[in-house]
Amino acid sequence: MTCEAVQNRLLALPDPMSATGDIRDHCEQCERCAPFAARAIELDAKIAAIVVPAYSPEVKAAFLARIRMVGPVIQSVPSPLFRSSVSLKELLSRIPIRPLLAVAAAIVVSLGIWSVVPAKRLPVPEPEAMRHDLLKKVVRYNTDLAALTAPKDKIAKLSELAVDLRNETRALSKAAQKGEMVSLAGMFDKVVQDGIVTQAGLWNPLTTTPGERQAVLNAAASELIQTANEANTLASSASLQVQPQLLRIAKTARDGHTRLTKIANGEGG
Amino acid sequence: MLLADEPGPLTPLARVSQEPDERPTDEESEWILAAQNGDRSGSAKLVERYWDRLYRWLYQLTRDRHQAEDLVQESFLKAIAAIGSFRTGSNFRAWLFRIGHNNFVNLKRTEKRTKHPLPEDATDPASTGTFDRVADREAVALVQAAVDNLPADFRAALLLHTQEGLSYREIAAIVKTTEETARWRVFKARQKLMKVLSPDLIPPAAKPE
Repeated sequence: MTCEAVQNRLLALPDPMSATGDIRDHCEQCERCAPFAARAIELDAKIAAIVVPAYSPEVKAAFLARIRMVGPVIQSVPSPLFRSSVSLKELLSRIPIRPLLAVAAAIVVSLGIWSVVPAKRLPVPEPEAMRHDLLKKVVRYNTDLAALTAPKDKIAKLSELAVDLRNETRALSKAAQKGEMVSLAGMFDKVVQDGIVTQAGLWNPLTTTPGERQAVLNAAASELIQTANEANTLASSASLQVQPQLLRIAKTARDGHTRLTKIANGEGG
Repeated sequence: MLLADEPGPLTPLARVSQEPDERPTDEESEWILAAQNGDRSGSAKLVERYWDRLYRWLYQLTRDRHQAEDLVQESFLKAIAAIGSFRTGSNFRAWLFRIGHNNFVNLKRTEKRTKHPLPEDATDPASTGTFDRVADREAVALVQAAVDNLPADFRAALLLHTQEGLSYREIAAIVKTTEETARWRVFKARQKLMKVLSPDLIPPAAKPE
C-alpha cells in the first residue's frame, strides 16, 4: 500500500483515531505517515476547538421572550370525516345512498334533455376580475414606472409602492395566512432589492446635484427603516405562521436602508 | 455531547461522539411534545438547548455575526411553526440544522442575486479560546483560516461532522445530499486542510490538486 493510499484511507475514516489493521501498521512504520496520522488527529481536535464571536445575549433573550409571549398556536383541526376511530367502511355505511342515487339520476336525465333540446341560452356573465386594492395599485405602479426614465423618479415611485406594501403588511399581519405573507414578503424583496436599491446604484451622480440625490435617497431610506421597525414590532405579536415573513420584511428593509445610506453618502453602490 | 450554556465566546465543543444517529433524550422528547401541543415553554427549552450550537455552525458558514443571529432566529421560528410536522422520535437537532441550512442557502442566493454581499465580520480567531498556550491558539487560528477557505459545502459537512459529531447520514439529511456525498465532502475537506496545513507530509505524487 502506498503512502498516498494510506493517508486517504485514514482521512476517510469517521475518526482518524480509529485506524486499525493495515493502516495502523503502515502508520507505525512509515516516517511520513506516522506524523501525518498524528496531525490528522490533531486537525479534528483543532477544528472542534475553533471559537467564534459571541452572539448578542440580548438578541437571544428578546427572542426567547417573544417565543414565550406569543399567543396560542393555531392547531390544525382534525376533520371529523377522517377521525381515526371511524373506519372507511363505517363511514360509507353512514352515507345515505338512495337519495344520492336519485339526485345523480336526475342530473343525468337533465343533462340528456339539455343536450338534445337546444334551449335559448341565456348570456353568461363574464366572471368578475379579482378585486383587490393592492393588486390594482401594483398594476398602476407598473404602468407609471414604465413611463418613467430617470432613476430619481423611479426610486420615488418604488418607494411609494414599498410604503403601500408596508401598510398592507400591517393590515395582513394579524389575519393573513402564511402563503399570503410569503407572497407579500417576496414582493417587498423585489421592490426593495431589485427596484429601489438597484435604481439607486444605477443613478449617475453627475446627472443631478448632490443635495437632490441625497434628499431622494435619504427619503427612501427613511421609509425603509420605518418599515423595518414596524415589521419587527408586528412580528413580536404575530402568529408563528407569519413571524418569519415579517422578520424577512424587516431585514430586507434594514438592508435596503443600509445600502441606500451608503450610496447617499458616496460610499459605493 | 456537550454544549456551553453561557453565551460567552463561543464555544469549543469537546471531542464529539461519532455514534450513529443520535436519539433524542426523554427530556427533549417531552419538550417537543409540549411544543407540538402549543406549550410555549417547550419551544423555549428547545431554543435554549440548540441556540448556541446552531449559531456557532451558521456563524462559520456566514462569517457574519448579525447574519448568523438572523438565521438562527429565522430557523427557530420556522421550526416552531412547523413543529407539528416533526416526527416524534427522530432527530430534532438534524431537523433544525436542516432548516438552518435551507435558510443559509436562501440567503446566499439572495446575496448572489443582489450582488452586494454584506460585509464579513473580521474576527481574531486567536483572541479567545480554550487553548491556553499561545502556540496552540496560533495553531487553531491557522486551522480556522484554512477552514474558512474551504468551499461552503465542504465546510458545512466537515463542521457538522467534527464539531457536532453528526453521522454522515444525518449530515446528508441536513445538506440534502446522499450519505456517500456527505462522506466524500468530509474526506475532501480534511484532505484539502492537510495539504494546506501539512504540505511536508503529503507524498509528492499526491500533492497537485
